[in-house]
Amino acid sequence: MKIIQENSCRRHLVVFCMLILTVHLGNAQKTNFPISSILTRFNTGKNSIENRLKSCFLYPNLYYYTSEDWNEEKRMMKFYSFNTTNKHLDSFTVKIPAEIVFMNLPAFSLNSNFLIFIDEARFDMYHFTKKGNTYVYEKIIKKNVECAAQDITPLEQNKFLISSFYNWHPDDPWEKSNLFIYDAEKRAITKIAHPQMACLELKVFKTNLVTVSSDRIYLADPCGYKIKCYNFELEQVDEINYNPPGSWTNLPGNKIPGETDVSKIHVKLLIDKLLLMRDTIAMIENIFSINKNMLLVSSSISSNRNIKRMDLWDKQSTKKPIFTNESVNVSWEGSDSIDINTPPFFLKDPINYYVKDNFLYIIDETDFYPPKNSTLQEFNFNKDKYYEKNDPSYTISTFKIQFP
Amino acid sequence: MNIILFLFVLNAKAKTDKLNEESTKLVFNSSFYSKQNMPFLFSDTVNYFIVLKNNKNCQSCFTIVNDYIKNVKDSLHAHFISITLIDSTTLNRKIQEAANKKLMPDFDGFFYQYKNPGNNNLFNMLEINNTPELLIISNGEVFHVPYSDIFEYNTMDIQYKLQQEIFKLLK
Repeated sequence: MKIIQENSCRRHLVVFCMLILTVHLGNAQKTNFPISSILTRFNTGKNSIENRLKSCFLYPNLYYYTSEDWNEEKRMMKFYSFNTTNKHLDSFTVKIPAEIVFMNLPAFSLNSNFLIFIDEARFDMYHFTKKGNTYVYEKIIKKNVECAAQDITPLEQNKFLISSFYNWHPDDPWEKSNLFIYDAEKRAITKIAHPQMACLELKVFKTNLVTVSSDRIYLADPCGYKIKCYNFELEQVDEINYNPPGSWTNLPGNKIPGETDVSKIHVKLLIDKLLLMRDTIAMIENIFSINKNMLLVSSSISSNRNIKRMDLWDKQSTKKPIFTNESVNVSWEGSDSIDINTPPFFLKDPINYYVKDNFLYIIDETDFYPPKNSTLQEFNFNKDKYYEKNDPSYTISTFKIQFP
Repeated sequence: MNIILFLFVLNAKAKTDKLNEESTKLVFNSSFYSKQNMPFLFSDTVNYFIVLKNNKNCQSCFTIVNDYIKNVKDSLHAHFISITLIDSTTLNRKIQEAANKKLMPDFDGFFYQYKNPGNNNLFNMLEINNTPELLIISNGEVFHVPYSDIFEYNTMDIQYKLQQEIFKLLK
């Protein structure tokens, strides 16, 4: 296992994700705040071209496995556990009984007592219980047929949040919007909710509209600017219902115009329509519970996918954000230095990232990082040379998020 | 009566559009690149069955095309290749090569065209939006099959009439 770990004092630290945001407090006061700076990076050594990776974060450990770690013949799956605090890498294996047939590489979530798999193709869920230094299969979770299961996140007290949002064909048995709580101790789904979501059809695009804090679940609508807040009983306890001033454009009535029933419109035609529409409206793309008090919301507001709006919310105050920047550029130009003041690339395409107590953990599919003070042109040139001889590996980067 | 005639004409329309002389020249003069960035040019003495791929594509459609090729490959005289429109980086070529090999394992080769600004590439010339689309090169002539003419709407099989035309061109 190739491990690269850099310390900012010892080596040329690449301050890779420092963003200076010009923020507005109310309409007058302006403050800059750097959003993050890279602290460490860790090369998993797992080829990201040949392998798909599944991950789960439970502080302080980031767990992952890749397709090459699933030995279907021997029915063994090897998991890695990367401690984000001491940077120690550990591993364990789990025996998958032959009765379990995964259609795809399954999503998973775990804590110190339980491991849950979700087969994202059939929505089957499997419950494993910790025994010694592994997890042992116990049962298939019989779930309510309305509950499609696509994503899973560990909560407190041996509970897991499972979610799924998709514009299903009317003949499919599932609700389009699903949140449910699996209580692993009780071996039961204890709560189910089907929240109303405006423009749910837009969930076809890569977005992260669910985030979890120590006692709350936040769920954003794909259009409009509405974020619902739930407790772990799935009772709605608060809501952000904001009408951003300036260039924010909503769909009339926050509803996709025309036909969206996939029994009446071919799904490819619908996606084409949504792609065109996406460039004409503002929409929340990602929400992050950064810490106990703050929620970061990033949105697209124009046809330029490289420009984002960022709002920082105090969770106790849902009237308006405490900071806003309407024009965060998340892309570099050729002559830009990608040393400092660089865009928060994770906002552009956030796939595998986790946020906890002002730290951001990202699993990136590439392992080449720019030398200090290089321009984008130099970076691209060197990167090209590097990948002539090397294949990319998954890399875990840790960032510190800073506030004014 | 008129409607029946119209439907007949629609159905009878060839699925393959023969490119004009200027466009044909562009196809033969365009450079494509291998995974190792080695240039590749089409030869007008070889027949090709070419699948065009860009980043606005239907993944499962490539599998359908591959399955079709797997079944008919031995009956046709052609090289079966794919051309993917990508940014000109080593990493992109590697990623696309791995993806293409999984999607189209029965093809003979995978090549790339770069979407550099100002580059008059094949995809711009043919005004390609969704992919897959097909190019068939037969006896130095180039035929284009747009996305909308490849698949049966309901079954997503390769259209029967197109299959007939492919056989005619590449037998």
